[in-house]
Amino acid sequence: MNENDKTDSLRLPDAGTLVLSSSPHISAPETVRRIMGKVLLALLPAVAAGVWFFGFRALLIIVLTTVFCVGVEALWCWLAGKPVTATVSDGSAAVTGVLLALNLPVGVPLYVPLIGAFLAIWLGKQVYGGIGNNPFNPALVARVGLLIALPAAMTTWTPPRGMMEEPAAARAFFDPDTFKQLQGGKVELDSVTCATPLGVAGTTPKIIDSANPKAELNFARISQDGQLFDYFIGRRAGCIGETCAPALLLGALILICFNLINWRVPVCFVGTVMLITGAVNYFFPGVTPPALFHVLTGGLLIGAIFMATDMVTSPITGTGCVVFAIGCGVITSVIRIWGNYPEGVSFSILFMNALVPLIDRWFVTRPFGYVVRSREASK
Amino acid sequence: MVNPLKDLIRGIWKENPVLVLLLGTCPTLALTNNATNGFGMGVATTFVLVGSNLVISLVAGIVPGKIRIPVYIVVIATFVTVVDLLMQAFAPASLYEALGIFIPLIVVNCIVLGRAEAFASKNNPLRSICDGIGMGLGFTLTLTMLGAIREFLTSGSIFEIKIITAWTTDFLLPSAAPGAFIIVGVILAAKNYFNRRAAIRAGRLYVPPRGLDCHHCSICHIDK
Amino acid sequence: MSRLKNCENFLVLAVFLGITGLISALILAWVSGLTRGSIEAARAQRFNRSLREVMDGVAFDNDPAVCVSTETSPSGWKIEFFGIKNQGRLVAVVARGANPTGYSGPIQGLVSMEPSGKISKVVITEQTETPGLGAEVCTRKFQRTIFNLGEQPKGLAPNVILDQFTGMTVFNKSDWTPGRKGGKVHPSTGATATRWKVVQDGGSIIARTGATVTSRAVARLVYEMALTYAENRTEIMSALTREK
Repeated sequence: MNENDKTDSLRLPDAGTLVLSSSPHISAPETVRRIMGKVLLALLPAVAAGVWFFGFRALLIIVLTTVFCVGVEALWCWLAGKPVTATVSDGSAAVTGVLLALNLPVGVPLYVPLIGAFLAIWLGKQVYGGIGNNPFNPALVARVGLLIALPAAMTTWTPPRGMMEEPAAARAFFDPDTFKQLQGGKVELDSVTCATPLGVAGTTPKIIDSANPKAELNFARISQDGQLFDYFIGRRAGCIGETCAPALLLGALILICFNLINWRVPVCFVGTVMLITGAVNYFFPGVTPPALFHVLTGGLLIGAIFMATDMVTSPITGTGCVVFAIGCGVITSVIRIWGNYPEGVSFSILFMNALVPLIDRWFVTRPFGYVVRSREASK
Repeated sequence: MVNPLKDLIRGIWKENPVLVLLLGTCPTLALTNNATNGFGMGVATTFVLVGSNLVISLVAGIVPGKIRIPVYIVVIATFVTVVDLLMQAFAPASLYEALGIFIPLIVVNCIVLGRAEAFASKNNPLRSICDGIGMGLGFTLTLTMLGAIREFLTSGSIFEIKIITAWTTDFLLPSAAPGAFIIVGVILAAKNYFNRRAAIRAGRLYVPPRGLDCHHCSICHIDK
Repeated sequence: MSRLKNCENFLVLAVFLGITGLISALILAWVSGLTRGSIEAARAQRFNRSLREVMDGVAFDNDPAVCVSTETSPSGWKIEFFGIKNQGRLVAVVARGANPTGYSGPIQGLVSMEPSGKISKVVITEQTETPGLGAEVCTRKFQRTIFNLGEQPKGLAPNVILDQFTGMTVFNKSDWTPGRKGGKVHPSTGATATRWKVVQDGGSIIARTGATVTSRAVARLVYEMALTYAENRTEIMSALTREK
């Protein structure tokens, strides 16, 4: 092999040697490590936005989670007798670590990344046999596990940079005493806690009767146009990586350009949520906020772009992916509107992950050369 | 008398009702939030197990084969209710408060019916009592260990005595239902590991050379 | 005997099963009759113990079991009010009632109140909730650590959920609805939460994670007993002061 065809070419065996092996004899240069590198590149905008909005502690959480994830994977491989360097160097633990960190609130105590790393790598991936064998998205397994285990720590939100630039818009998320102190400048923004838009929407009592004049204004405090733009930019409380929509969309663009994810999943997921919440909001405005509110708040964008599209746990075929995404959208909307939890994205993705083997069986790819029998018979 | 003693020891490790026979997983998972509950449930079950094994082995001779299961259930339920009533009336208040809630839950415990059908109905009363004691002991030990692990991982306490006083935030996963399943899974894996190691040492198991890729054929996993 | 064991005659099997059921019913009836008196005595003893617990050190010298007045709560539950007297003067009223809609059965409790209706202590006497979850809401125990193993704890054991009710009073029926006076201001919605419902229902009572149904049932029980007292206060007071 000469120097000219090293990268981006097929790896063919050396001409002088006799190679005995089973297929495949020709393989593409794509390795797990290169794919993970590209995913990390796509996550970089979200990491930068998270650090910008939430400060140095966000960077600390991200770094700690990644280090712990890689460490747990190395430890487990050593304990279980698997090759340590080969497994750790494929970079999937690092990607899981970054994704998990982007799903944590910034104020979590520092033992939370350690427990999360253990849940993600050991419970989410290694007990099933390592990468490629896990039915559930590891970062979401860790996130939901932490939510059950430490509910207080996982639902305490810190306001991001710039939230008090429009005090009237931010009033709805703070305790009245805290808000007065913030306006007076007596306390710093990163030493108080606030509510998220979905949290406020979840605790607002629903007005089911649409004829009631108060129904239209039920969510007006949190869904005005100016506020929706703030949610888009990222001036709202939430997990480290889920607030800034432009960063996430840039990441989605990078992933689609590298042909790493199926575009159908995020489009159908977000589209279904918009459709269902929009319909419910149109007929019953007092029950749920408008569709755009639902898209821009909570973890919907990060879930649809990075979590639902995980190549190990999502369906193989395009039609299967559409079905998967629609299912996720339906469950998310139902949990958000009628469920006990304010946010339903993690649960919906895990639920549909469980159904992926069934979806794959129903929507099988057509084998090469296979002709559909019914068309033959009708000819 | 070698035989009855063997029945007693068998239930503790080799045929542990929870880890080997996988009977009675419902109370194992539900009632091991802390070590005290686990221990209480184990003791109460042991008591019922011994009594029902004795009664069934006495009665088994005359019960027609086709209706033996309903008859055994009636016998066990009667025995448990009688025990419950007697406990309410005559036991000291602290004992009833500790064990009273578990008694009605034992009727549907698979261990009781399982051992009645598999052992007590086919053996003499002495062996049945020993089997009941052995199975009950194994059950109690397993439940107490599981309860201690779960309680310690949740709040750093064992038998409701806090060992690590600095542990103020409860880590709720081990004491919730999912944590129970995960921890029982780990314990089952540990038991299988010990079994496998014992089988390899005794020469009953073929271990392929390290690095050989047998494409998951699984023939060498058939334990004898 | 082996003829009976291998018999497949449907009639014989049915008769055998029937006889087994009959014998078991007879045994249960006999034991139940034997123990009925002792169970009643044990229950009365438990009631006395719970009464002393809920009074928590306040001295009294009458027999509350005879100084009793019964009322019906707005939901139709039977609530008994026991007068606690010290040297002829009414010092407290203890209400006993049961909420039939606990998670897995009725929850019976005692609430001690000052004669004005202000709640002092709550003790749950009978419940069949899930051990480790719902039962934790209802039982009072001291937290023992390895450092205080030898100490004998004094007084009423703490319970995070039950201790929230100390000092609360019911004004009238609308106290159950959010927006009424006396509740905390909700940090996000700004509405005044009612003090009596659990946080998940818009109230101020902090429930135990994973045992919301039991916490709700306990809150409802205490509320009903306090409300019944507030609504029928004059009749209850006159009945209790009249009796010894």
